[in-house]
Amino acid sequence: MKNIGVPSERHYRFHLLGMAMGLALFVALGVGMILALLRPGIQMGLAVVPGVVFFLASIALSIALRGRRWPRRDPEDRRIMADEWVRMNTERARKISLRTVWLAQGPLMFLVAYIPPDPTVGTSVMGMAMLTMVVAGTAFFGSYLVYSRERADG
Amino acid sequence: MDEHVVENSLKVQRAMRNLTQSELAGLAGITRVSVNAIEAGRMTPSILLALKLAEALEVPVSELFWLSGTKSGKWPALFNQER
Repeated sequence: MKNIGVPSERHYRFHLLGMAMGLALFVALGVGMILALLRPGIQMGLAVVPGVVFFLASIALSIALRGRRWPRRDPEDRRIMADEWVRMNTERARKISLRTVWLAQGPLMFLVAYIPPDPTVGTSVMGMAMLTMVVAGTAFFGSYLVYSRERADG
Repeated sequence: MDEHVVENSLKVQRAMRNLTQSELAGLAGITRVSVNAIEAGRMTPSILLALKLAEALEVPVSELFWLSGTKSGKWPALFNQER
């Protein structure tokens, strides 16, 4: 037998944590967008504030956890990104995301056009664009995490 | 069209060598989650990955993976006869 180089579990856990944080970011953005659409007088730009805050916090957390001991081009990171299981789940999540965005266009159209009390063109355009991104991101990260669940019987 | 599924003896072969999933993953140059997914039947590996695993376990690929409804080792024998 050859020498056994046990791959670090930490890198994969960190990868999954990143995906979970991505999901949380898009959920935060989505909540902000829906609140902005439903409440007249709130500027659409403010809707992205929770998302931006969360994004900055996640970057800070990432730097704090990784530190200098964990370079970005770590071979373990590359191994994870090239892994067949990871790539397969990424591809599945991408397909789910595309289909969800397609299917969500109708409901989003009605949501943006009729539910806001005082819709302006700018609000509608921004709302539609942002909600499409939120739906795509949420579907991608959510389905990736669902597909990546491990079973104990393996 | 036949509905064949790829079956495997990865878990058995790994257990025979007293290897953990992480150790096998290290030998094959993949991640433990891939080994877990293959063993659980949730993923059919590519030819490249199947070869890597067979090399890591030092067994022929046909002993590690085979089509459902066939026996391991049957296909290489047939292939050799035809040639």
